[in-house]
Amino acid sequence: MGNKHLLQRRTFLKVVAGTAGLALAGATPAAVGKADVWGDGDDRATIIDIDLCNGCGACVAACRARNLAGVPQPVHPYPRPYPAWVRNSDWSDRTDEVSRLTPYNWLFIQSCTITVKGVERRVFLPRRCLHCLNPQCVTLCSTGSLRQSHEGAVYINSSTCLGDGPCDRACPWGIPQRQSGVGPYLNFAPKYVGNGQTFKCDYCRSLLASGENPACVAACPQGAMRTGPRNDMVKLAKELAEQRGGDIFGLKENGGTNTIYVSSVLFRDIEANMLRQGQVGVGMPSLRPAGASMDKENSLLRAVLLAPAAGAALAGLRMWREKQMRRKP
Amino acid sequence: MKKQRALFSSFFSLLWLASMLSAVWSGLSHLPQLARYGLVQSLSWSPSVAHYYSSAALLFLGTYALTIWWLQGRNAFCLTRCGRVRVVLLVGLAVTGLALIVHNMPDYSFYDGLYRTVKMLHLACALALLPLLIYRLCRRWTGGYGWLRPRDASADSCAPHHARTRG
Repeated sequence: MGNKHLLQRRTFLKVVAGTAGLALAGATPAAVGKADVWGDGDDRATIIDIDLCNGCGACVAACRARNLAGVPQPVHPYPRPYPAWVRNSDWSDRTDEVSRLTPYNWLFIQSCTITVKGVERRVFLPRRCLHCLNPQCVTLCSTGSLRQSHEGAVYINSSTCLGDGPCDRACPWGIPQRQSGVGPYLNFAPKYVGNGQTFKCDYCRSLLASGENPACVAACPQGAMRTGPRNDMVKLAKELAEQRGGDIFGLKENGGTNTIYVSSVLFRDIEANMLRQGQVGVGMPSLRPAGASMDKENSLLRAVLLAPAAGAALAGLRMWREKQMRRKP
Repeated sequence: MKKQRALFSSFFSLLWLASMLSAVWSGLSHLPQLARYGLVQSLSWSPSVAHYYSSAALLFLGTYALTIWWLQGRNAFCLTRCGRVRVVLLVGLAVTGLALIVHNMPDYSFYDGLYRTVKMLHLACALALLPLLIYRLCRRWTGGYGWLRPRDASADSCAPHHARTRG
């Protein structure tokens, strides 16, 4: 009777522990079975054809129409952060700024004049978050506010972002933009923890999830932007670049991105002209060919995975040695 | 009372302490507050790489300790309640840490809210270790046992409950 009671209790405890474990992991048993909470994803990439873009700004307008209303206005006066070297960033009085990335403007047209084979031409690049395949901003966000969707959109969860994370410094192109005086940090200790929120393009992730194109892609009258499964887009980008003897940006940069630029002009030439013409700076990202930012960490994977096996082997060695010692007279 | 031979040498304890401190420091260096108050220069070094090294060391030492305790020490020692909580927290740290390492690999990710939950769980397990350590130190100062207790200790024997009922 006692044992039966004990077994029932043990079974009960096992069930409770298992359920609690699943709940703590943020997944109900049903959700665990769903393949879209982890895995290798179903990345949807966008090709931006620089040769077709004429800088009309329809993409910028569409992006603003969709997102501007969702960016909150700061409280005034917003708390002065401590210590004094922590800088506030306020763009709330310049919400109509479209010549660079700001918390209120997630897409802008970067342009420069370039001479190709003696002919001068104007190059336009719609610039926004590139949605890296393995984004370091997501890895380093201490509150887990930066996330990746199953479709490859890298987005910020505004309900938990405290705005003082390293995402803007971690991004090789400095895409995330900070706005002070907004967000949940105001409810805690705004002087000492947090500094607003960071904002950036979210790849219209709700549209992507429902199988539609992002607003900027849908709005492009030139058909310079195309969205589709990444493998198809990579294939298409390579074909386009080969046809024009051109260049691709985004295939390998920072380990690969879901925004792929194609151009008949080499991107390093575009970058050089941008720099010369003062088109690169804070809020105006470069076309720096960044290497995969998590490479160093990922190269240590073998060491981390082998460590438990080595520990067990050392324990076995110690026990074997002690056994040998005991055998000796 | 017969004095039990210690299961792990002081050298092992030293290594464990060094690895743990390194893991805690590199882990907490991911928090922006440390950079904000000038405690770490997160711009000039990568806390992730240091965290990977220290977690490899902890996994190595932890598996060693677990294997030794399981095969050799179980008959002589048992875990105190404090020790059991510590094991649960360390296992939680290892599992969530490995999950985060997998997430950092290319072509494999945890999506949306699950990623945040794993991350927060990792942080919660790490932070919960501190009060546990303080409690354990208090227990030691008041003459109680730390993580392990000899099985032949007279006060409240740690023999499994079912063994007692069977006996």
